[in-house]
Amino acid sequence: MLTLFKGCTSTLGRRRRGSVVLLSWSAAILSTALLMLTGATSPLYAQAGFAPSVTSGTSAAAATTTMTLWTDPRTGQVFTRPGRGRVPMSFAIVNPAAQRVLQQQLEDQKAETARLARQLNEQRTQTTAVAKQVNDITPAWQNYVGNLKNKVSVGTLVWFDYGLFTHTGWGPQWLTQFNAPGPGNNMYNSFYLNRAYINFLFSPTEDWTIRVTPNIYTMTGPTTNQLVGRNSAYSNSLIGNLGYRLKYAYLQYNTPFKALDIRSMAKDTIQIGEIPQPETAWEEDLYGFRYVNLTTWNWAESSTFPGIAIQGPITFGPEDLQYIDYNIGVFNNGGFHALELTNTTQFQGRVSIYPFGAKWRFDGLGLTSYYTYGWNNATPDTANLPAALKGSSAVQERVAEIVAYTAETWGLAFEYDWGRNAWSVGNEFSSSGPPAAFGLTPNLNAALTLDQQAYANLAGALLGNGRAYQQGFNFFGHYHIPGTRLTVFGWLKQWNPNTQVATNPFDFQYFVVGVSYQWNEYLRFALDTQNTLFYHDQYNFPVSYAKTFGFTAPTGFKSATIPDVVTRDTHAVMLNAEFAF
Amino acid sequence: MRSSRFNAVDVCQDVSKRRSASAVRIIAALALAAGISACHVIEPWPFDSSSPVPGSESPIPARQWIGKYLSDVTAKLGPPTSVQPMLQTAGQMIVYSRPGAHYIFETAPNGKIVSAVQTD
Repeated sequence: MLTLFKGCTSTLGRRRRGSVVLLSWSAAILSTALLMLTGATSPLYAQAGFAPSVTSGTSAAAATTTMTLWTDPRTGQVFTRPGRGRVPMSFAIVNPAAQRVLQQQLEDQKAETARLARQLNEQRTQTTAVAKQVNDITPAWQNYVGNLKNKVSVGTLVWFDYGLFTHTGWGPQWLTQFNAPGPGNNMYNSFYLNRAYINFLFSPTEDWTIRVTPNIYTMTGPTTNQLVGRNSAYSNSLIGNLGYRLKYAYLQYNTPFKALDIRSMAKDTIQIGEIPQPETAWEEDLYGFRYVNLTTWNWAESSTFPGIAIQGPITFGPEDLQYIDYNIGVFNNGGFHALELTNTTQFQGRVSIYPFGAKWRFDGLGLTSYYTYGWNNATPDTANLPAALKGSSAVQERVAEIVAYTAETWGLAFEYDWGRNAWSVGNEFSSSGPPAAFGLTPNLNAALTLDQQAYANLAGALLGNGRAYQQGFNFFGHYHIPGTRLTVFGWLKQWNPNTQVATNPFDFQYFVVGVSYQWNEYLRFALDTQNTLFYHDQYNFPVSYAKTFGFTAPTGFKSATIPDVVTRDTHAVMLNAEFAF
Repeated sequence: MRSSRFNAVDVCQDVSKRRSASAVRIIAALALAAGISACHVIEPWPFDSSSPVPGSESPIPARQWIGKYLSDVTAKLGPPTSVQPMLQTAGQMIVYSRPGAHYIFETAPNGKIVSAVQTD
């Protein structure tokens, strides 16, 4: 702006117009306006040369000075001095102090603008970061499902088979949920669904696991039709149904010894609830073909009991080789599908020793001992009744001694069993038996009915008199045929339900031989033959000898012997399938 | 042991004999099924002794499998020689027994491998 005025002065001088400065109105006003709007950065020293009339404001306008010029309205000329025909024309000029104030304000404004710009940039940066965070946030349900996936396991195990019984007879079950009619029903055949586990396991932390496993069972309960009200009835439709019941339900503490920093027992666990007893599940895993047949003691005792147990391997050395595997616990006397009636608790324990160290669960030579001590499941007031023979309320013991060798593709085991009051009439005829043994009347003529009642009473006397001792011998094993999907397997068993009887008609042998076919990692099949052989020659059992075991003759039975006490053999061809996932 | 003590049973047995013709047919059907199965058996196992496991010329150290899943194992080693559900744990025992792959795995119920041993 100063340059502008200087320029005007120079122009006027060249035109020799004295102090007259000619500026257009528009230029003057524009200059003033620009001066006011932008704020002069330097004082207007050129004003002195024009000697205009300058006055300072006093109030709000103290920051400004008024400069007066004169103009001739007729010509539009502007003069620095008054004169004829001239009228004053005033301009407000900012004084240096005010300029400094304005300058400061400008600087402040610039600084504020810069600050706001920085703030805006920071805000933008933050917004971008927040947007990224929002984008990166995992939805809660995804997080929940992700965690759940690692903590929850749901699986299934299904066993299904077809059995063709070329010869039928009374005898024990080969599999659970498996019944076949007795003598006179040759070529009976059936499909069976033996197992349908739903394995549900939840491990909220490394330390704890909860397992719940329902399983099917065949309903063969009371068949009595039900009276409803005074004049209605429901027919019974339970028999033959496959219902679901709880097989396992327990809480497992996974790290009791890890927490104690005992490395050799770091994998040992404590289970409480409805849990596997120490021997059966272990032996089933050793055998590997439970989907084909039961293991020995499982013919007589449940595989699952309510109770508490501690179990696991004990390892030593730098390779953590397993030298001991154990399972010890206390349980109800009744199994998982029986009401507990006793005021006692049974002990069960298994210890497996691997003298050369096992790299995996059954590796190499293993020596196993299993022992149980308990009582038959009877209420105390019944058990305490004075009786010569305690029968169904007697002490119960079981022993198994197993020598096994297991390699990568084969395994062989020998098992010796000993029991005390551990085999009942119900066990002997768990597949099917004479109706009289179950308190029913057979559909036979009177003489045969009486004979059968005597036979049933003999079974009760020899097998359930409270001083019966059992003995068993077993060989079992398998061999995988190299380069194929086939594994040959077998089980041979001799069972003496009461060794106190000189020739026990209920002694039997059982064998299974078959071949298994691994279809894929989830499915395998087996084709096999299973057989129960009551191996004694047929004979008549002397009543006098039977009475030494507590035999009571049925009313009307006058014979000195019980005729034909060795029952028929059972033979079957079976096709078994297993699906596990 | 055959017994003659229940005559009514023997009557039933006669009825059964009349059904023996159909039984023979069933046995024949089973035999046929067994034959078909045997033919299937002849089909070479994916990695038999003449075909080493692809990519497994030098066996993978067993410990490297721990924490992986059965699907990882089968993807690398092919179908296992045998698989057995473990009734104690609800896991599985998996055996590989062929040239280049001799392992025994044990899985947790969720299929994750918790034990791996090289057996050759």
